[in-house]
Amino acid sequence: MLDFLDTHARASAQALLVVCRYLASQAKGQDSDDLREALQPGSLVRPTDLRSGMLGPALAVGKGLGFIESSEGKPPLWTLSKAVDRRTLEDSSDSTRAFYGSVLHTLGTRAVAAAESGDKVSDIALGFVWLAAQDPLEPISTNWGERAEDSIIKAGLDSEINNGTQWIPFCRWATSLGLAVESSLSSRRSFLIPDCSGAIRRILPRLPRSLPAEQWLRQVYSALPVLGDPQLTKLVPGLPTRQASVISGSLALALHKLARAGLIELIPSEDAVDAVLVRLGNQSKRVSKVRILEESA
Amino acid sequence: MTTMQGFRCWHADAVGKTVYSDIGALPGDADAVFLAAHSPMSLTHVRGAEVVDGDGSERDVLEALMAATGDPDRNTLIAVTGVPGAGKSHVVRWVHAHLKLDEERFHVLYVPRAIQTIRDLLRRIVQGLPGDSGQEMLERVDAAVIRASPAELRDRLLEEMRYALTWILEPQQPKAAETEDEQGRREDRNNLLGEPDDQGKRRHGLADLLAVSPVNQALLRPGGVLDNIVNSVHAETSRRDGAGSRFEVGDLPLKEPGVRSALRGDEELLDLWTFVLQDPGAAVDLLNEAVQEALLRALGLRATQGETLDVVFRQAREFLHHEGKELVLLFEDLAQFGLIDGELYDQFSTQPGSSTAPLRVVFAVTDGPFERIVGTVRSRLTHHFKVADDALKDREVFLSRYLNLVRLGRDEVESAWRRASVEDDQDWVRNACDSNEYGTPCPMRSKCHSDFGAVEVPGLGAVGLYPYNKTAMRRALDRPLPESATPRSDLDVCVSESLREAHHHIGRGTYPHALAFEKFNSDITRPKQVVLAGRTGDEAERLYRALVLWGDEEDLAPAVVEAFKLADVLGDGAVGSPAVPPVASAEHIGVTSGGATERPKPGRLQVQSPLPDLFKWETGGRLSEPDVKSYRKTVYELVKGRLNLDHDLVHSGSIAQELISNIFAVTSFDFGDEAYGRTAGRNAVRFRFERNSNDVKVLAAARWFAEHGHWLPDEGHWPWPSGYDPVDLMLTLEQRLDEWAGEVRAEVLTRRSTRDLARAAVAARAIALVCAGVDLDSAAGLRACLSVVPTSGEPTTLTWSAVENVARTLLEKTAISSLIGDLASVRQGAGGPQLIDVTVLDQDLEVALARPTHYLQQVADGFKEVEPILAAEAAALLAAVRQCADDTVAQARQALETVEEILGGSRVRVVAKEAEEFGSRALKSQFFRPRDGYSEFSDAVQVLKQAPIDLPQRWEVDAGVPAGDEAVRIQRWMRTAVRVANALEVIRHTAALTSEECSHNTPESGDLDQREAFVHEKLIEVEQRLRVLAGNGGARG
Repeated sequence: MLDFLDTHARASAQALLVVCRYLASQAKGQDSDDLREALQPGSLVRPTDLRSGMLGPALAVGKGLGFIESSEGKPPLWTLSKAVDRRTLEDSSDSTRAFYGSVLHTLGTRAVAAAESGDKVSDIALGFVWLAAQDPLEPISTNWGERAEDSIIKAGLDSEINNGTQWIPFCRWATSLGLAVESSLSSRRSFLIPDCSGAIRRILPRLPRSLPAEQWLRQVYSALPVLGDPQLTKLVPGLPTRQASVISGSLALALHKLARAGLIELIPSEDAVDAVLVRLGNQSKRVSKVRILEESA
Repeated sequence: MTTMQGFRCWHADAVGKTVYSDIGALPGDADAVFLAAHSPMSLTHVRGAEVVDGDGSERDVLEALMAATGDPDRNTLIAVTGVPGAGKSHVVRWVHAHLKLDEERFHVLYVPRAIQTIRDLLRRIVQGLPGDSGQEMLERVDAAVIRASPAELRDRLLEEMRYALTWILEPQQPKAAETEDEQGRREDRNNLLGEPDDQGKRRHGLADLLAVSPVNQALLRPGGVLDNIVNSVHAETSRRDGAGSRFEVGDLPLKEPGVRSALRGDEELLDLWTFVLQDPGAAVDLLNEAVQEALLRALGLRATQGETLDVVFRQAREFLHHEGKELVLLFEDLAQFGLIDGELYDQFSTQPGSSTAPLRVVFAVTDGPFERIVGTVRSRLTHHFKVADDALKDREVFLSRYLNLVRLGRDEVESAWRRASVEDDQDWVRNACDSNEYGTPCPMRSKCHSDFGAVEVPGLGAVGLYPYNKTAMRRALDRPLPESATPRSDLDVCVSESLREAHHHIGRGTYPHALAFEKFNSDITRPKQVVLAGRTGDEAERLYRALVLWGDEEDLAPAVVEAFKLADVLGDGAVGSPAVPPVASAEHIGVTSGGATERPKPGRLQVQSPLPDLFKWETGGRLSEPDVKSYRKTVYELVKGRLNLDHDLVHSGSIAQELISNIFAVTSFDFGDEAYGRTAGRNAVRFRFERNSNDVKVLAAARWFAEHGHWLPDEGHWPWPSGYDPVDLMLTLEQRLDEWAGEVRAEVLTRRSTRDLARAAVAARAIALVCAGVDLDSAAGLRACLSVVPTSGEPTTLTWSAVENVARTLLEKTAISSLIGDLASVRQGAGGPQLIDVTVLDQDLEVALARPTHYLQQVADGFKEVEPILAAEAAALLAAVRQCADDTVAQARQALETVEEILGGSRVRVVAKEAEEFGSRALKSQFFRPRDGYSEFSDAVQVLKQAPIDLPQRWEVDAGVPAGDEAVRIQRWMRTAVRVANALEVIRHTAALTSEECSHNTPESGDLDQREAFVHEKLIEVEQRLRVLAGNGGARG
């Protein structure tokens, strides 16, 4: 699996979107020079070669995710994969978020597939798994040296994210894909709040309207494995062992936020055996069922 | 068990009958009421011989007065001064009430402050002095007042002032050891008086100025000083401390128009007015001197014959001397004498002698008027006592005496006073808590004193604080005040107002009522929602007031709950319970078991929480400007941080930043009346903070998070806001920030159409390029729109040049191309755009180039507010296009007609080739005409040679589209067509002249064929082709 945070650190979800949009309009495909000429007009973009700019890494990441394909010829022609839902490439905020949602979904499912087959899981997927387990009450500084470094090392991910240069694109991907919110307190202080409510909002229309909490959350993990699929969490050795029936961290925050926003209902239960415990800080809520409310439809 | 519910131990009407914060309003026969609640004052002995065994109270004044009696050679003057409301008059009143003098030796004239008009004052003096003098004076004064209407009296006063200024007031002579300032003031005064003429009448002085119409009218105006004095004389109004009866700078018409023009022609008075403008203070002082003299004259107190006040006093003192008595004068407020105090001061200065009785005077006066008392009087003061600002050392005891007084009621107090006078009982005031009218203790005493508290009052014992308790009393005494508290203000608010209101509201079960907060210090340390434990509604509001004011946000004592009927809102088991149990669900207030934090232990953290001011804001307090700024900035930064517009390819470049800041700024957060500085514009999003628990919680959360970056109560550098749960606080803030960010994002992306704006920037550039003569079509796409630059020297038509200039201006606006980079690109960090979202940007090109005027109109209208630069440029281009359209279309049509006419169906380049050959041969054969026209001819041939092969020769104007659209569309060929037409005209003209030259020379030049037969043949061939050029017709159509 290709890395996102090292060789292709200049890639981003937005760059991938722009490239995919353009390729969608070029059915016969484009070679790298054509793409560069089209997407980097000289009057607006400082010329760069393919690798050192954003285009090359975006193509590589797109190819790694299966969004973009390249021909065998020389120069290779880049085309948009048929797997990409064209509706997500329309020019609207909702479509854009749907596109980012599909990126996160693909990234997660490919990570699970890699884990299952014993291949290397992408650095960013493991980073997301770590992020999802962090306590939202104690946001992580976007300044690598302040707390993130220690926490990453403790989680055993120092080979995936081991410096500030990798931490920055990680934060960028996390916010773009709806796994975190960046809170700026001043021009010099900002924090990354583990908050996957954005990512879950994007998949709400595809989730079951009402299910026992445990089953509903299984659907969430299936759509977004980086939120806590056991196959992935076991690859982050430093994370505390999590009971399947206890939801904490980023997902707990997201469930509370979505409930407060009137998008879902966390139906409480005191005695349901299949209830899950949503734990946030020193608050715990036993939830037997999750219901998606009309507003989110 | 007796219930305290609705209990009141006083009558509402007893308050008005017993509590007189203003001694001036206390009837003269109300000594019982006065003494029953009198608290010893704290006085500073500023001047005079030490009072032996003095205790620093009003007793010292009495001792000082008494110590001086019996000395026939000296007067005694005792001044009691202090700020208004400090209790000076109480001191004089107390001295009067405790003055036990032998009537055989003393005559007492006591003037209470209740007397407030000059006539009443004079009457009191005349009636209070021995002998029968003064009646004639009173009759004179009455006659002066009765005979004249207020308006007449006002005018008479003014005229008397002029008289005084002209004749009575004398220029001051230099004093020994006069300072420079004193000298200046004296000279100014004398200058204002004017100069005497040969008859001794002063002219060109203030008296003359007062006769000038605008000045005269200003001084006579209703509400002015003269009006106030006359009203006072007529007993229509009364003013304390002479307020309003002294001239101030504002009484002069310094800024009113018309004075200078009224003085035109009188140089001396004009100079004087200029002087007054420069130093109005000197004029005001002189007016005050004059009005004092004038009033005495207007009222007849300056009679040259008959009684004056001076005469009345003098005769009284002579009478008393004869009787062997001393005259004791007790004035509660010397400022009452204001305008007639000169007469009084003369008496103070007149020492007793062989025929004049000594004076023993105690007068109270506020600090301001005391400073104005003439030096001769002040220097004669025997004693000067100053009532301290905090004259009542124990305000709680002071108020408790009044609480007791009100409980007793006036009848009971006066009855007790009468009995005491007879029985010489010093402890005649009973404690209403201990003994009611039947001699038994109040049945509530035990419960009331236990839960509401009591104060030990000297001479009374434990006086219950009800309806206050210790906390409420403290908060009442610490209430916010515009100035420092005085005994008078304490009595007004804490006793008079509060007991009346409490009586009413306790009876109805509505106490403490909503306005109660204004009468107490309502400082709080916890959020209202937390104190109320989730209760809501009117009764919860009442409970909250009780919890804050009577409980310091903590539990209420059972008797308080019972008396104020708060049990229902507290819920079952509230009465008797030491704590206020929460009734709301934990979810509702965000508190779960173990979630809400306790109050922080004091002293653990050095930094105080900044939140109490915010909590107080919810209950009506004001937020300081720095606080409002801080909260606004905090929430702004937090929202801005989660806008994530870059996810939609929008970036905060210079242009987009401006665009976004017009929509969303710090000023978007509106604190209503607390919003210092400007507020967000009408097109900006606004988020209003209301004084409610939810908004307060959001602000508290924002402040905590902004200053700590986490939600860990134990890790803060100031105390966690007690009662708030970290998770609830975080979720509350998160939810609100998400909502705000979503609203801003929607406004920027959708309602302000940022992506449309980027597309419009591209399309507007494309139209401008076409207008500037660039052959651009929609298929060329974004890249062409951005990269093509119109040639600077590209020739244009005269009619279109205005359009082209505007188009070039648009193209030069970097702000417009920056829009593309700001609103449809991918960036990283603070760098520039790295990828452009070209796919969406191309979308408008086709429609824009097909209907350019319509598109420009849309841009001009649609983005006027969002992006005024682009809108303005589009509007300018549209206007230019529309203005030039008809001429341009006509010019194009004419050019094509010319081309069609001249070419007659031939192709341009064929004609160019033949014309070139023709020219060459004609030149060689020297038939070329005009002789100097070859260069122009050659250029014209070049134009034809370079003309595009697809240059239309026919063109039907599309009547279905605006002329502007047609004018823009034809730009790709029009200027070429015009050039070709012009070139063809040159060639035709040359051919005609040359042909004529040939024809002209052929008959006379027989050897022409020999010299150039070949040329001639060729010319004929060309001539056939160019018959049209020679004007012989035939080729048109």
